[in-house]
Amino acid sequence: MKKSIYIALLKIKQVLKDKSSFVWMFAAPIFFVTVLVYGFGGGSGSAEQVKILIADEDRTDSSKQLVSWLKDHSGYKVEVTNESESRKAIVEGRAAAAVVIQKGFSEEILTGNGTPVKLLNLQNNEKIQALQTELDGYVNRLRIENGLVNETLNVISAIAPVEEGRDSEIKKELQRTFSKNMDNPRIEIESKNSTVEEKSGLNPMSYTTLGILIIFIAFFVVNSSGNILEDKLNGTWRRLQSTSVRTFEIVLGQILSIFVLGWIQVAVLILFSRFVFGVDWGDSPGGIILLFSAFLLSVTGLGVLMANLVSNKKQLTSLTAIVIMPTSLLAGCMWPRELMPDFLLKIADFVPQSWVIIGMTDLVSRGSEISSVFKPSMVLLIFAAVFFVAAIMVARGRRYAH
Amino acid sequence: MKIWSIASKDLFITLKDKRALALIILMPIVLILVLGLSLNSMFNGSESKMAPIEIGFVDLDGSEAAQEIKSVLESDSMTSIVNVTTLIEKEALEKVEKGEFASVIIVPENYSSQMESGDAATIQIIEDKGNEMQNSIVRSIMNHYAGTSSALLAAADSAGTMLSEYQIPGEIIIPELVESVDSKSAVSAGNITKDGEGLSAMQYYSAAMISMYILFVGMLGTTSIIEEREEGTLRRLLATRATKAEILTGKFTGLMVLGIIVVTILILFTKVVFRVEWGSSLSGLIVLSMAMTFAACGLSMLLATVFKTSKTADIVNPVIIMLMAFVGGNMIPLYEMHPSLQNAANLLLNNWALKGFLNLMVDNGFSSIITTSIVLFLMGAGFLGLGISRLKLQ
Repeated sequence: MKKSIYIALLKIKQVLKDKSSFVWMFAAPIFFVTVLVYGFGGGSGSAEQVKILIADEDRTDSSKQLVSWLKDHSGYKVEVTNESESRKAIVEGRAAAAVVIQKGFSEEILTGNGTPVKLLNLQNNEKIQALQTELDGYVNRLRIENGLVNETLNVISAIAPVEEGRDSEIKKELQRTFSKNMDNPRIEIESKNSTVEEKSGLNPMSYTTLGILIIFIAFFVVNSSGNILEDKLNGTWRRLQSTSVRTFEIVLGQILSIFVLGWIQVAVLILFSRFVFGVDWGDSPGGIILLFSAFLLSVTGLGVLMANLVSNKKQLTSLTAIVIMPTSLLAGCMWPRELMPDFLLKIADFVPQSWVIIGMTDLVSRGSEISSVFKPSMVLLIFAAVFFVAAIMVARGRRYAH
Repeated sequence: MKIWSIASKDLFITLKDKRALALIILMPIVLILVLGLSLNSMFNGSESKMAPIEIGFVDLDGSEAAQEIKSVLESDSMTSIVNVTTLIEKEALEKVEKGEFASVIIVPENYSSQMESGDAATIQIIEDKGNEMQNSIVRSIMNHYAGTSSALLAAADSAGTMLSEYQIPGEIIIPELVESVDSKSAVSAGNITKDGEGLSAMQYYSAAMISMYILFVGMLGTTSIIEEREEGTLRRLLATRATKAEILTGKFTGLMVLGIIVVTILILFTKVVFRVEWGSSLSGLIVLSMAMTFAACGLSMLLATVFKTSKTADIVNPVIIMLMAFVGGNMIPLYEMHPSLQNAANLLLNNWALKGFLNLMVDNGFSSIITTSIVLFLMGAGFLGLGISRLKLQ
């Protein structure tokens, strides 16, 4: 056992001295978290104005009214352009959506035929859906205004014929009072949160940070398992075996070193994001320790298994990229799991990264106790056991093949 | 001739390398599949798949006006969006706190009396903060209701003022107006493609991954040059009659051909297997792909002058590529990004390529990629010039 610890200490020292491992362990993940948190607003976005474009091809009073209403709307930052330009702008990410008011808008909203307003967008998120509802609301308002004028004139002319020229006067007056009345809506909506407490929901910043951490930890740990392979190829093992150290102790020492290095990485990244970015990691350090220990064991197992499947370190690097990146995306490291369809979530259950995310969501968003991560940690330990057993079987199979 | 020998040798070596091929062909295909399937709900044409939002309804007023709100929420067009449960205030609030309801709509007891007296009446919504996406939808539905009802009341008021000299109440016109309202949505959403279907996640990420993985093709080229320099084979080539320019052009040509093969395979594969629509302009697709490959290969020549050893190149290059991918919009669509980063993205070839492919996909036609292709060619020429002039063979 003591010998394993010496081997582990040696390995840790070697890795920490290597500049490239410093890049992969700490610099790269911190860099990415910074870019994502600041570049994408890290979720502060909801209060910001949504940038939209308008193309008015109708150019009637009604369409102009719609345009000026959108321009005055506090939720949107509006730029007027034409349809082909806006099509390009949407594709190139310069605006979230474009509202194209097609020719015939003013007549079609009254007859209720067709869809005279086209909404161009790349993604269909809740902001776009809200815009669509608001547009329909404004179309209703235009319909009501028009109906008000027509019906009132009908009523008046039924009593006494309206003189020439007076109808446009009545129309103007009705439109004026209507828009004045609309400034003070008679029915209002007041919304507030169910809880006064700050905590609820894993905020986008912790989520982004967590996802990036998991991807980089998985990459680093799996790649470090390559050291076992390298030592084997370089003949270090054979030389060690000539001393009184047993193979079992060598392997244990290697695994121990990976586990400790993994923990150094986790600790540095969590503490850094906690104190520099102010990321909320919940109130249960015990839960985090348990969950991440189980996670590190499972990815170490995965790394050892993968190292046994390939014959040199270069192959391991490519295999790592091919395995870790898609499985991390599948686990929901880059976006909320709620977005994903059910069948993918079921597949994602067979990926270790999923269970850290599930466990951390419980710990951080619901402020749960350590007990809430028992199940995810158990699952991760099972993963670890399966990977290690598979690795041993592959190693034995290979030995017989030689 | 010498150029071609070097090019074909490089190409042959890469095509035999299963590891390299897995990285530049298998990997993007797997990622397109995962991204395309996972994020489909964020793109168009999948609203119906979302389960109805659970909301509570509390009527403290007990009036007809309150029942009207409820009947709107329970109307046919709404049942696929919200599922309404009526219950008493205390229970409803408990459920929204537990997250069982996304939000609870409360009609206060003075709602109808305030409406009749001409004051502003208020409908309250209590929201579960942990469910921002769903309760923002409920909020916009309620705002829509309040807006339309307010407009009807405002119309009645205006008509009332006008008709007061005839002693006719303004409400007389309301029934006619109600019929014209909400007959059908006037808005059609997601018409970014010509067929009006909208762009699918699979399409977006096919374009995004190809313009990202072309950078990995470039990375293979960078590593190959540096490795050959380390092993001294480039020096030995100089001992033949080949000049430096010929050797580097040869390496560049080999990489170009590899890039074109990879892009062709990826485009055909996504088109046939994932049914990705690449737009109707084949010439646009060819010109853009060539321009993108040229720029990426040029960049790889430049990067070969930056790194001293193949080990550093292998470590730093993937970091550079991943960062370029994030800032260039290959992972998360650009409009979500901070404006300063959006400007930075204009310096990245993968961003130009992505924008070009998306323009083609929505059938903006050949003309939409002319500028893009010119920019990519110029980038490539600049990188290549700098790279070849500064590159040392030994």
